[in-house]
Formats: sequence, C-alpha cells, structure tokens
Amino acid sequence: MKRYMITSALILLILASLGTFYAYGAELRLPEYKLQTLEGDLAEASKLTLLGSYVGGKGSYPIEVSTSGSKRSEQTFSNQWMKNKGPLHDQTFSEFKALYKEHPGFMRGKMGTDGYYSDQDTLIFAKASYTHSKDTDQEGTIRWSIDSLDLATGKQVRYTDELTDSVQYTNVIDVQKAGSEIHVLTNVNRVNSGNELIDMVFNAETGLPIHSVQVPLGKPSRNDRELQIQIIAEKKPTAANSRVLFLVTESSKRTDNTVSASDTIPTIFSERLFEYQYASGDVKELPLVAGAEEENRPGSWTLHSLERATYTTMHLSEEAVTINRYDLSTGFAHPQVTIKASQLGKGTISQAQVADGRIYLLLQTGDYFKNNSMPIIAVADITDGRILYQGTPAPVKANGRPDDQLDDAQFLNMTIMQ
Amino acid sequence: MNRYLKLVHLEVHRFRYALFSLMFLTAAIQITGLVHTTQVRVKGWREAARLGEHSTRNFSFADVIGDLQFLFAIPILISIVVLGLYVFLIWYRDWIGRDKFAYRLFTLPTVRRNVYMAKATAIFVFVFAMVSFQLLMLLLERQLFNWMVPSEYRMSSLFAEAVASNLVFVRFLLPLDGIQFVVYYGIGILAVFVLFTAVLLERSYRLPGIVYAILYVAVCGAAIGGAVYLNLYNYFYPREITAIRFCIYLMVMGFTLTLGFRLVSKKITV
Repeated sequence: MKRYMITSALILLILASLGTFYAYGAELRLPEYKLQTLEGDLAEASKLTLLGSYVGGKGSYPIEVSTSGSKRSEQTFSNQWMKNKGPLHDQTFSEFKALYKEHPGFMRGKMGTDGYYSDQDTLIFAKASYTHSKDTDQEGTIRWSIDSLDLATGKQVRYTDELTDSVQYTNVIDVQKAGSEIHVLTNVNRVNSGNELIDMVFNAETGLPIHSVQVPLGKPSRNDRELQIQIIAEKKPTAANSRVLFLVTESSKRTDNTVSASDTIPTIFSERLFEYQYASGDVKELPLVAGAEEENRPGSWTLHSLERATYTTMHLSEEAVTINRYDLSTGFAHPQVTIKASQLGKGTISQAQVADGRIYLLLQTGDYFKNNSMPIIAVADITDGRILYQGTPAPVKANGRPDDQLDDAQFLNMTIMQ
Repeated sequence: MNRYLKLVHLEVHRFRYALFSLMFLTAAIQITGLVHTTQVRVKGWREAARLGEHSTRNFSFADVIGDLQFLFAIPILISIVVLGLYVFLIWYRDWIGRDKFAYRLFTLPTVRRNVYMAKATAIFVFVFAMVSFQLLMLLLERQLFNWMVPSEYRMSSLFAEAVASNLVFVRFLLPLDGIQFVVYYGIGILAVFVLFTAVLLERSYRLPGIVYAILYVAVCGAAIGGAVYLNLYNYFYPREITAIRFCIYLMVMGFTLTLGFRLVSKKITV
C-alpha cells in the first residue's frame, strides 16, 4: 500500500478539497432581507419585489427582496442550462407563466410581450419583421406572421402577409380580435419621417388579409416641427381591449447640429390624445386630461396606462404622486387621488406604479452612499389614496457576513407581479 | 480493474516530480505576491493612520486576491501549458529513448484499453490535483493574511468571495456554480480523449496519420465548439438545448473512445 501512497494521497486531496468546496465553500452567500412592516397589512405588499444590489465586501451582486425574503437575482449558469421555460417567464405579468405551462408548444421561440391576444376561444401571437433588400436601391419587405391557437381543439394555424416598402424597422404594438377580424397594430418607422401606425386586419377564419388602415394622427403644422407618438395600449399583454390610445406631441425638430445640451430638449407646442376603435376604425380626439401638460416640468413626469376601459395618468414628482382615472366608455372621471411623500414620514418618491387597484410607491429615505439608508415602500388604495401598507427591507440573517456589512444593500427599483 | 489502477499509479509516479514542481512554483509565486501586496496595504494603512487620514473601509483577503490577478494567473497558466504538453508527452515518451517503454507497456498481460484509460486518468488526476492544491493554497494564504494584517485593518470575507475576486478562478478554474464546474471539466475531459485518439492515429498510421489526426481533431473540435455555442433559443427551450449539447458530447465521447480503444488494441505498433 505504501507503494501507492502518492496516487492515493492525490486522489484523497482531490475528493476532500473539491468535495468540501462545492458542498460548503462555493456558495457566495449574501445577507438575507425581508420586507418589515412599519404599518398596515403585509399581504398588501405580496405582489411587490424590490430590486437592488448588495455591495458589502468585494463586488456587487444583484438581489431582490419581497415579503417572503430575499434572493440573488442574477441568472446562474445552472439556471441558464436547466431552465425549461422561455424568455417571458420572468416577466412581471403572471399570465406568461400560465401560457408556458398550458401551451409550451405554441409559446416556443416567441419573444416580446406586445404581440399576444387571448380570449376564451383563441390564443394569438403576431409578429412583424422587416427584411432589407440585397440591392440597397430596392425596397425591402415587411412580413407579418400570425399564429393562432384554437383553445378548444388545440389546432394551430399560421397566417402570413407581406408588403414591399422601404422602412427602417417594424414592430407589433398590440393585437386584438374584433368579431371575426384580427387586428395587428404595427409601428412602421421610416427614415426622417417619424412613425406610422398601421392596423393590419385579417380574417380570423381564413387568415386572409382584409385591409389595412393607417391610423390618422395628423401632421406637424410646420416643417421645423415633428410629431412624437406615445402609444397607450392595453396594459395586460394578452387581454382584450376594443381601443388603443395615442398621445401625440408636436415639438420642435431635433437637429444634428445642436450646440448645447439645452438644444437637445425639444420645445413642446401641443399635446393631443386620440382614441382608435379597432372595430369601427374610428379615431376620436379625447379632451386632454389634467396633469398631462405638466409632463415636461423638470423633476416630474407622467405615466399613462390603459386597462380595459380605464385610462389612468400618474403624475410623479419627488414630493407627490397624483392619479387621474377616466372611464372611457362612460366618460366618468374618478376622483383625483394625491399622495404626498410627507404623508409617509420621510423620504422622496423615486418610483410609483399602479396595478390591480393599488398604488405602489418607492421612497428613498436619504443618500445611500452616506448612510446606507433603506428605502420605504408604500401601498395605497387607488380609489381614495388611503395608505394600506408601509414597509422597509431589513436584514434578517447575516449568512456569515460581518455586522457592518448587513445594511450594504441598495434597492433602487421595484416590480409588481400582475 | 487492479491492473488498470496499477497502470494509473505507474503514470502518476512517472510525472510526480513535475507535478510537485508545479505545485511548488504555484505556492512560491502566490505566497510571494500575497506577502508583498499585504505588506504594501498594511504599510499604507499605518501611514494613513499616522497622518490622521481616514480611509473609507478596511480591506479583506478577497481584496488582496483581487489585486493579484496577474500574479496568480502566471503559475496557473504555466501549469496549464505543462499539463497540455504532457497530454502528448504521456504517449510519446514511451517511444522515445533507447529502451522503448512502449514495448513493455503493450506486452503487459492486460487489455490494451487499460493503458489508454490509465494515461487519461493520470492526466485527470494531475489536473484535479492542481485545482485542489490551489484550493488548499487559498486556505493557507487566508491564514497567512490573517497573521499579517492587524484586526483593526482587516475586514472579514467569505472564502467564495476570495475565489470570485480572481477572474481566472471564477471564470475557468473554480467556477462557483457546481454544474458549471462539471460542464467545463467535462468538456476538458472530452478534449483529452480526442487528443489521445489523435495521437494514436498518428502512432498507428505515422505520416498519413498526422493528416487523419488533424482532421479528426478538427471535426471533433467543430462538434464540441458548435455545441458550446449552440444558440437556438429562438426555437428551443434552454433545457432542450442542454439536452442537445449533451447528446453531441456523448456522441463525440462514444466515437472517440471506440476509435481510441480500437486503435490501441488492433492498430498500434512499436
């Protein structure tokens, strides 16, 4: 046995050191955090996840924290190799998780969240792509492909159509079904002439293209001005909605020969809100809602969303968030709701989101780099602004990290699972 | 089995001095670098303290390992080159010299594939022994760091943090993800078998064998490289791509071992 000592010793060394390292030493543990309730019902924050980084020790590691605890949020090698779900699985919309589970074959290779539509009978995914011609003088081809799955029979069909044109790129913005028609709202970007919005209409039974509508959103009033179009489509990617909204802003043209940073901020001359009805093809201008004209005030911004018939605008600044909601089918304006940062004790508002009848707020309570301050999150009722929950991430387990590194985490973003 | 193990031991025994030299070189360079860098850091801290300057934070073993990227990479690269050359030399040394060792090796009363597998196993033992030695060195270096740095300047760090702070460790040598380790070293093992079979092609067919060997390595390299960079996420789910990769690796491995065993048993001459 003594003869084989070197080989035996080497094999023992390998088994002991690699075994111990991968069993106990290779895990780069971070402290564990949990959302700690300051006031209210913790269940109100169950859909909320704070995203940030742990910066204690050497390096920086992405981390996320929710009511159930914290975990490292980067994709590990094992995850990348062993995952059996597609790229949309980690989206904040839970409907994609269900789609991967129920229709893995249909979901195969489908990217992007905007091309989906589903109802009790059908699941549809539409894609538009532009292929440049090999000859640069020739026009390229815009191709639409629509995959439709009959949920009752499981039969899947693909419809296609194409158009010869010269554009920069195309992408699908929204897909809806109106009666026996499938509407594929497509953004077509042309060189030097802004965006065009085309509603490609297909027969849901035969897949044949019926017609296309270029949504008329006006033209700039002068040559030195341009239109910026913000599309406000149904918030939930697969949900049905009979309409889509467009916020059309007329501004000064951005030129390449700007001399200072202030020149790059275009002057806004007008803002108009339009509603496009898929079924009728009608475009109607809506009265611009309060708050939208403040959009360009420094340090504040407005977010727009459409969920079924409810159009919501959320005006944010560091001091307050103001929510306006309109029922587009009845024209009813819900009471305006304002939540001030001062109501929540301390901090300034850095992010806010509206989801499922709640307003989610993220407040930064101080300069992180000076005092490692943890943010505050708040959940309020969208109908009256009542604060239902306030909490903050707090370390609950050191995991081998020294005490002075436990609060070395910065949480700057939040996501809401919808 | 017993004969195979004896052959493994024989191959390990023949390389022992080279292996210990590599270990010594690794230890010498890394310890020298660590001691020097730590001394500079401690001196800097003491100087700052004497002048009343306040530093932002203490430093850890992981910080020092992070500072020593290049110095730690040198012995590792030397070891990789030496072991890489020995993949060829482990065969050719048997044909070199007046008293060709291959005569005795291939007339041993055992199936010849044991010779092939024993040489491959010996290479794997050398590689994993060097990796394990590196882990032991890190433990020793951490102890050394703790002795050298006064506790008031020292910040604690996880062992994994020290490994992660060095790019050569975390990206190639000691990835923190266990599956990544298995995949990387699995591909390495496959590459060794491919090179062994290429050597046997050359030994079996001599001059034309060189052409066969180059072609064989090119085909296997293309298959393995193609599997590594397989990017069909537009159609397949990640786990399906992993399954395709493993199928390709297994096919290359199966074909390589079959050809290698056949060459070593039927074709090779001394």
